[in-house]
Amino acid sequence: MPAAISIRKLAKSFAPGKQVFSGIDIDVARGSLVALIGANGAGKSTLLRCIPRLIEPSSGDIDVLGQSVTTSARGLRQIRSRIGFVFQKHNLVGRLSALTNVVHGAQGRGYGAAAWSQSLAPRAIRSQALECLDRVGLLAIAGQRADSLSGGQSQRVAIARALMQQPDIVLADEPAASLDPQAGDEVMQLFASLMRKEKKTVVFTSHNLTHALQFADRVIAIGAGRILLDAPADRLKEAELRGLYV
Amino acid sequence: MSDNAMPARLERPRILTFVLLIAAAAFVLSSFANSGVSLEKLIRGLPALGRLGSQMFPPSTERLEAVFWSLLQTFQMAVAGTILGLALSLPLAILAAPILSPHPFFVWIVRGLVALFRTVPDLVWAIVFVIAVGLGPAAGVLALMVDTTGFAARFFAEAMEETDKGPREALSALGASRSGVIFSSVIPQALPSMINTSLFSLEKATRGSVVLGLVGAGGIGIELKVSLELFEYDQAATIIISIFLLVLAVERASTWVRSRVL
Repeated sequence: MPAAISIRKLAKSFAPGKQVFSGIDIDVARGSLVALIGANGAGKSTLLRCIPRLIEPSSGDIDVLGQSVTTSARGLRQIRSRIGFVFQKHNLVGRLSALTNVVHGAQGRGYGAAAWSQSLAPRAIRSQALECLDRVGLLAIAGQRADSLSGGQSQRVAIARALMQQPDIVLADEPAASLDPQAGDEVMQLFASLMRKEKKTVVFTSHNLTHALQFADRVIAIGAGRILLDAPADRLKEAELRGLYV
Repeated sequence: MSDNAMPARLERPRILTFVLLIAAAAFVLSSFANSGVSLEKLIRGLPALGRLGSQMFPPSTERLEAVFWSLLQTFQMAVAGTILGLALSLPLAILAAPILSPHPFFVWIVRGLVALFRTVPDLVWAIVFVIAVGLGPAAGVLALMVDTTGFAARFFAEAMEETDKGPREALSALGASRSGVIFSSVIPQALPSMINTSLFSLEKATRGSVVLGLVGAGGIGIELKVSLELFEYDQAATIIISIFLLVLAVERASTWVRSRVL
């Protein structure tokens, strides 16, 4: 069975002579949770965004579930529909309700205009969205505007939106970074347990080494434009990882 | 601290800046001189203004019903023109916004078209449409539609441009189509600004619709023109007061809607 994500000789530079990374080779096995760590500016978020081509790689190949992401616009949309993305800043539409934001997740499944708003969505989509909110413990706030929610609640709505998409892979860019330590721990706990339960393949970036070791099966550290470390999480110590930041 | 270390209160202008300031001041002075406006003229005109005022008051109530129907037609022209203009503005704004437009070529073309709509005065558009579709309110509605499009499409596009990139990126990332991104993320975010622009458009069209009658494009303007030409200043006063009340009512209503919706 091919890897869920296969990255070969990936390079990215934003300007001539300003290379973020090069020669990156990573295979992510299906159903595994991978933590991507590294100092500020190491290129973790850039690497993560290159996978669904939210950022165009400068060179290299990326295959997702056996399909190259270098394809037509329609093909790319099909690949993206199989990848859930959880952003550091949640990226919800603040003026819309939590429920509508979750309903948006169905757009990747071909529900087009029916998933533009909960008021347009068919009954089945609305009840699936409510179920996703229930799974993240937010059924009670379904009708509340997203901009009235706390940071932790917003991130849980963003996770529900990713679940609504029914993806095979979930990419999360520092999902707990904008939250206080308590809310960050809760969100990571919920995120990791849901992903394990649903057998999703996950790659998340984090500055929190405890989170990386606690929730991931494998830790990949990048720095100086290359992979510095790639090892199973249970064989690593936090102090060892801390040394990579010096 | 010594005086030498103290920074100057005013920066000495560069020579080019100084020359440009002098040229601008000369142009302002020549504008007053060539337009012939003077305090003396204004003082000499005061008695005539007083006579006009005395002939206007009390306003005539003779043709109140006709004035009412003309005023209603004027407002209906404004409403129809605004709605058509706003409907046209939405797709044009999407094409004019670089973050949403399918190609930079459309941005360039549509921005040029919208600039043309905006820079040509509504009275000129009214003359064009009177020639095209004949005298009457239809020409007025079309003129207001074009004028509203020129105004609203630009502000709609700017409101869309200013929306938060995050939700757009989130929807693109999950495989949403371009229209999905626009209608699920961009328009909901831009909506308060778009409602504001729409209400201003209605206020603007109401004011604009009043004068379109002067060139035969329907509405109360023609009533005002006839009254003034026949020296029926008391009649003209009634019309001017009616226009003032209509514009005031629309502005008040739009302020109320704005406070409730936004």
